[in-house]
Amino acid sequence: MDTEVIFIDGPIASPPLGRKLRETGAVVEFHGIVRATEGEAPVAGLFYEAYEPMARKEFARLIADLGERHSPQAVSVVHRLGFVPVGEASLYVRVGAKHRGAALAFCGELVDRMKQDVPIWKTARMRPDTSKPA
Amino acid sequence: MIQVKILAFAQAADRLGWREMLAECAPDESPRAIVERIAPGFDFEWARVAVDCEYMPWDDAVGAVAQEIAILPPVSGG
Repeated sequence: MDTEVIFIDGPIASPPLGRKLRETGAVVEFHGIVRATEGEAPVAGLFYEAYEPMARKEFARLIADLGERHSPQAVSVVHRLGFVPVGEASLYVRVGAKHRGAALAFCGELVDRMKQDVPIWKTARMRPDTSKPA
Repeated sequence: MIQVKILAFAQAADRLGWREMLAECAPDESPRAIVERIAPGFDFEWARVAVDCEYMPWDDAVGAVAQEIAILPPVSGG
Protein backbone atom coordinates (compact mmCIF):
# COMPACT_ATOMS: atom_id res chain seq x y z
CA MET A 1 0.00 0.00 0.00
CA ASP A 2 1.34 3.43 -0.99
CA THR A 3 0.54 6.05 1.64
CA GLU A 4 1.23 9.71 2.11
CA VAL A 5 0.14 12.15 4.80
CA ILE A 6 0.78 15.82 4.13
CA PHE A 7 0.17 18.93 6.22
CA ILE A 8 0.23 22.22 4.36
CA ASP A 9 -0.53 25.84 5.19
CA GLY A 10 -1.94 26.85 1.82
CA PRO A 11 -4.67 25.74 -0.58
CA ILE A 12 -4.87 22.00 -1.22
CA ALA A 13 -4.08 20.73 -4.69
CA SER A 14 -4.79 17.09 -5.42
CA PRO A 15 -1.42 15.31 -5.42
CA PRO A 16 -0.56 13.49 -8.67
CA LEU A 17 -1.32 9.82 -8.86
CA GLY A 18 2.03 8.20 -8.21
CA ARG A 19 1.47 4.91 -9.94
CA LYS A 20 -0.16 3.39 -12.95
CA LEU A 21 -3.65 2.19 -12.21
CA ARG A 22 -3.60 -1.10 -14.07
CA GLU A 23 -4.97 -3.05 -11.09
CA THR A 24 -6.94 -0.22 -9.50
CA GLY A 25 -10.66 -0.39 -10.15
CA ALA A 26 -11.78 2.56 -8.04
CA VAL A 27 -10.37 5.88 -6.89
CA VAL A 28 -12.42 7.76 -4.30
CA GLU A 29 -11.71 11.40 -3.50
CA PHE A 30 -13.07 13.31 -0.51
CA HIS A 31 -12.83 17.08 -0.08
CA GLY A 32 -13.79 18.47 3.32
CA ILE A 33 -14.91 22.07 2.72
CA VAL A 34 -15.27 24.90 5.23
CA ARG A 35 -18.93 25.95 5.50
CA ALA A 36 -20.14 29.55 5.82
CA THR A 37 -21.64 28.90 9.25
CA GLU A 38 -20.38 27.14 12.34
CA GLY A 39 -23.41 26.22 14.39
CA GLU A 40 -25.63 29.27 13.86
CA ALA A 41 -22.82 31.79 13.49
CA PRO A 42 -21.56 33.09 10.16
CA VAL A 43 -17.82 32.63 9.90
CA ALA A 44 -15.02 33.88 7.69
CA GLY A 45 -13.28 30.55 7.96
CA LEU A 46 -11.73 28.07 10.35
CA PHE A 47 -8.29 28.09 11.90
CA TYR A 48 -6.66 24.66 12.19
CA GLU A 49 -3.77 23.60 14.39
CA ALA A 50 -2.22 20.18 14.88
CA TYR A 51 0.16 18.37 17.16
CA GLU A 52 1.89 17.37 13.99
CA PRO A 53 4.27 14.57 15.01
CA MET A 54 1.51 12.80 16.90
CA ALA A 55 -1.02 13.47 14.15
CA ARG A 56 1.30 11.74 11.66
CA LYS A 57 1.61 8.76 14.01
CA GLU A 58 -2.13 8.53 14.52
CA PHE A 59 -2.83 8.77 10.80
CA ALA A 60 -0.25 6.03 10.16
CA ARG A 61 -1.84 3.81 12.80
CA LEU A 62 -5.32 4.47 11.46
CA ILE A 63 -4.34 3.82 7.84
CA ALA A 64 -2.59 0.58 8.82
CA ASP A 65 -5.57 -0.57 10.87
CA LEU A 66 -8.14 0.18 8.16
CA GLY A 67 -5.77 -1.20 5.54
CA GLU A 68 -5.91 -4.64 7.14
CA ARG A 69 -9.67 -4.74 6.61
CA HIS A 70 -10.06 -3.00 3.26
CA SER A 71 -6.71 -3.57 1.50
CA PRO A 72 -6.47 -0.30 -0.43
CA GLN A 73 -3.62 0.12 -2.89
CA ALA A 74 -2.93 3.80 -2.31
CA VAL A 75 -3.98 6.37 0.29
CA SER A 76 -3.28 10.10 0.25
CA VAL A 77 -4.29 12.42 3.07
CA VAL A 78 -3.71 16.16 2.92
CA HIS A 79 -4.79 18.37 5.84
CA ARG A 80 -4.51 22.11 5.68
CA LEU A 81 -3.35 24.03 8.78
CA GLY A 82 -3.71 27.69 9.67
CA PHE A 83 -6.60 29.79 8.38
CA VAL A 84 -8.89 28.15 5.82
CA PRO A 85 -11.49 30.51 4.26
CA VAL A 86 -15.10 29.52 3.69
CA GLY A 87 -15.48 27.48 0.51
CA GLU A 88 -11.96 26.07 0.53
CA ALA A 89 -10.89 22.56 1.47
CA SER A 90 -9.39 21.79 4.85
CA LEU A 91 -9.06 18.07 4.16
CA TYR A 92 -8.44 15.95 1.09
CA VAL A 93 -8.45 12.14 1.08
CA ARG A 94 -7.89 9.93 -1.95
CA VAL A 95 -8.14 6.15 -1.78
CA GLY A 96 -7.36 3.78 -4.61
CA ALA A 97 -8.44 0.15 -4.37
CA LYS A 98 -9.18 -2.80 -6.56
CA HIS A 99 -12.93 -2.47 -5.96
CA ARG A 100 -15.17 0.51 -5.17
CA GLY A 101 -16.58 -0.98 -1.96
CA ALA A 102 -13.17 -1.07 -0.32
CA ALA A 103 -12.25 2.44 -1.47
CA LEU A 104 -15.56 3.94 -0.32
CA ALA A 105 -15.49 2.15 3.03
CA PHE A 106 -11.87 3.03 3.72
CA CYS A 107 -12.43 6.69 2.91
CA GLY A 108 -15.54 6.99 5.06
CA GLU A 109 -14.05 5.20 8.03
CA LEU A 110 -10.81 7.15 7.82
CA VAL A 111 -12.64 10.48 8.02
CA ASP A 112 -14.90 9.24 10.86
CA ARG A 113 -12.04 7.89 12.93
CA MET A 114 -9.65 10.78 12.38
CA LYS A 115 -12.26 12.92 14.11
CA GLN A 116 -11.88 10.75 17.21
CA ASP A 117 -8.13 10.38 17.64
CA VAL A 118 -5.98 12.49 15.32
CA PRO A 119 -4.84 15.58 17.28
CA ILE A 120 -6.03 18.37 15.02
CA TRP A 121 -8.27 21.22 16.19
CA LYS A 122 -10.32 23.91 14.52
CA THR A 123 -11.44 27.28 15.81
CA ALA A 124 -14.03 29.44 14.05
CA ARG A 125 -12.92 32.85 12.85
CA MET A 126 -15.71 35.39 12.66
CA ARG A 127 -16.66 37.50 9.70
CA PRO A 128 -15.70 41.14 10.29
CA ASP A 129 -19.34 42.29 10.06
CA THR A 130 -20.62 40.22 12.98
CA SER A 131 -20.02 40.51 16.70
CA LYS A 132 -21.01 36.96 17.57
CA PRO A 133 -18.26 35.05 19.35
CA ALA A 134 -16.13 32.53 17.50
CA MET B 1 14.15 13.79 38.56
CA ILE B 2 13.63 14.33 34.86
CA GLN B 3 12.75 17.42 32.87
CA VAL B 4 9.75 17.26 30.56
CA LYS B 5 8.24 19.70 28.09
CA ILE B 6 4.52 20.23 28.61
CA LEU B 7 2.51 21.29 25.58
CA ALA B 8 -1.03 22.66 25.54
CA PHE B 9 -3.04 22.86 22.33
CA ALA B 10 -6.07 24.80 21.13
CA GLN B 11 -8.66 25.33 23.88
CA ALA B 12 -6.30 23.80 26.46
CA ALA B 13 -3.82 26.58 25.73
CA ASP B 14 -6.64 29.14 26.03
CA ARG B 15 -7.68 27.78 29.42
CA LEU B 16 -4.17 27.51 30.78
CA GLY B 17 -2.79 30.72 29.30
CA TRP B 18 0.32 29.07 27.93
CA ARG B 19 1.28 26.70 25.13
CA GLU B 20 4.56 25.30 26.34
CA MET B 21 6.39 25.00 29.62
CA LEU B 22 9.19 22.97 31.15
CA ALA B 23 8.68 21.04 34.37
CA GLU B 24 10.69 18.74 36.56
CA CYS B 25 9.10 15.53 37.75
CA ALA B 26 9.84 12.08 39.09
CA PRO B 27 9.53 9.13 36.68
CA ASP B 28 6.79 7.61 38.83
CA GLU B 29 4.67 10.74 38.75
CA SER B 30 1.54 10.80 36.60
CA PRO B 31 0.62 13.49 34.07
CA ARG B 32 -2.31 14.35 36.36
CA ALA B 33 0.02 15.05 39.31
CA ILE B 34 2.42 17.09 37.19
CA VAL B 35 -0.29 19.23 35.57
CA GLU B 36 -2.14 19.65 38.87
CA ARG B 37 1.07 21.02 40.38
CA ILE B 38 1.54 23.68 37.68
CA ALA B 39 -2.14 24.36 36.94
CA PRO B 40 -4.20 23.69 40.08
CA GLY B 41 -7.87 23.02 39.39
CA PHE B 42 -7.39 22.01 35.75
CA ASP B 43 -10.38 20.02 34.45
CA PHE B 44 -8.89 16.62 33.59
CA GLU B 45 -12.17 15.06 32.51
CA TRP B 46 -12.40 17.39 29.55
CA ALA B 47 -8.99 16.72 28.01
CA ARG B 48 -6.82 13.75 27.07
CA VAL B 49 -3.09 13.42 27.56
CA ALA B 50 -0.26 12.02 25.45
CA VAL B 51 3.27 11.22 26.51
CA ASP B 52 5.81 11.29 23.70
CA CYS B 53 3.01 11.25 21.10
CA GLU B 54 1.09 8.29 22.57
CA TYR B 55 -2.26 8.62 24.32
CA MET B 56 -2.10 7.39 27.91
CA PRO B 57 -4.27 7.50 31.04
CA TRP B 58 -3.86 10.60 33.21
CA ASP B 59 -2.88 8.42 36.16
CA ASP B 60 -0.13 6.25 34.64
CA ALA B 61 3.48 7.03 35.51
CA VAL B 62 5.26 9.07 32.85
CA GLY B 63 8.37 6.87 33.09
CA ALA B 64 12.07 7.64 33.11
CA VAL B 65 12.43 8.40 29.41
CA ALA B 66 9.48 10.75 28.97
CA GLN B 67 10.33 13.96 27.16
CA GLU B 68 7.03 15.53 26.18
CA ILE B 69 3.58 15.64 27.76
CA ALA B 70 0.79 17.03 25.60
CA ILE B 71 -2.58 18.23 26.90
CA LEU B 72 -5.12 17.54 24.16
CA PRO B 73 -8.64 18.97 24.01
CA PRO B 74 -11.31 17.02 22.12
CA VAL B 75 -10.08 16.80 18.55
CA SER B 76 -11.97 18.45 15.68
CA GLY B 77 -9.96 18.02 12.51
CA GLY B 78 -11.33 17.51 9.05
